[in-house]
Amino acid sequence: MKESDIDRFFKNHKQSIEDDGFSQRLFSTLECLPQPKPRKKVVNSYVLTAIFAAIGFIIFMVTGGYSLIIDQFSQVGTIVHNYKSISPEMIISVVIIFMSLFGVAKFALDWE
Amino acid sequence: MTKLQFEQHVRLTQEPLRRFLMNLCSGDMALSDDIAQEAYIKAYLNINSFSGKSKFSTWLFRIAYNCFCDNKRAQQRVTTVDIDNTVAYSDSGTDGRFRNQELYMALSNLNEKERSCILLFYMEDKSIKEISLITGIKENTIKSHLSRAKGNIYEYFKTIGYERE
Repeated sequence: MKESDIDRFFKNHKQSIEDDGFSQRLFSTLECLPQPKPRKKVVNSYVLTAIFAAIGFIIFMVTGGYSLIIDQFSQVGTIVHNYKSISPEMIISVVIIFMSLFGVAKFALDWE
Repeated sequence: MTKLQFEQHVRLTQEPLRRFLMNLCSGDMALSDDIAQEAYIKAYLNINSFSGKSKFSTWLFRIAYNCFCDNKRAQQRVTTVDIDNTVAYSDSGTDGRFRNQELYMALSNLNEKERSCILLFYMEDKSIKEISLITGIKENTIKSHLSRAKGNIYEYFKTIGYERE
C-alpha cells in the first residue's frame, strides 16, 4: 500500500516538458564551440604507467629483487614451524609483493 | 560518436533530464535549463571520454547532477535567492500548477540526496545501479536514502490525506 501510493503519486505528478526551442538553442551554441577533445590523454596515461612498470620490473630484476623473493619464500617453511623467526624485512617484502600484484591486476582490468 | 548522433541523443534525453533538474531546482525552469545546457556542452566537449560502459543517458545524468551540485555550491557562496519569485511551472493552468506545488511540497521534506534518489527512482525509472552511477553514492546507501525518503513522503501523505482512487 505504502509503496504503491508513492509510486502512484510520482506517476501522477510526472510533468511533460516541451522542447520549446531548447534543442535548437543548444545546437546553435554547439556550433560556436571547438571540436571535442580527443581521448589521447587517457591512452597516454596507460602508456606511461606501462613504461614505468617495465622500468620498475627491470630495476627489480637487476638489483636482485627476484633472488631476494626466492630466499624469502624458501624461509616460509621455517616461519610456519617457528613464527618467532619472522623478521620485519619478511613482513615488508610480503606486503610489497601483495601490493604490487594488486596494482598489476587493477591496471590489467582498467586496461581491458 | 558523431555530432549528428549527439544531436539525436539530445532530442531523446532532453525531456527526462530537464524534468529531473527542474524538480531538483524546485520548479525553477530557467535555472534548470541553464544547468541542462551546461551539462550538454560539457558532455559534447568530452564526448570522447564516454567509454560506453554505461548508457549514454546515465553518463549524461551524472554530468548534469554534478553541474547541479556545483551550481548549488556556488549559489550558497554568493547569495540566497528568494525561490518564491523564481518558481516557474511547465504545466499550464491552475490544475497543473497545483499538482507541481504538491510535488514540491512533498520533496521539500527531503534532503538533497534523498530527493535526487527518489526522483531518479520513481519519476525517471532508473535502477539502483544507475542511480549509483549518476550520484556516485553506493547502492546500499541509495537503498537507505530511498527508504528514509519514502517514510518522509508517507508522513506528508498522511498530513494531506493522499489516499486517492
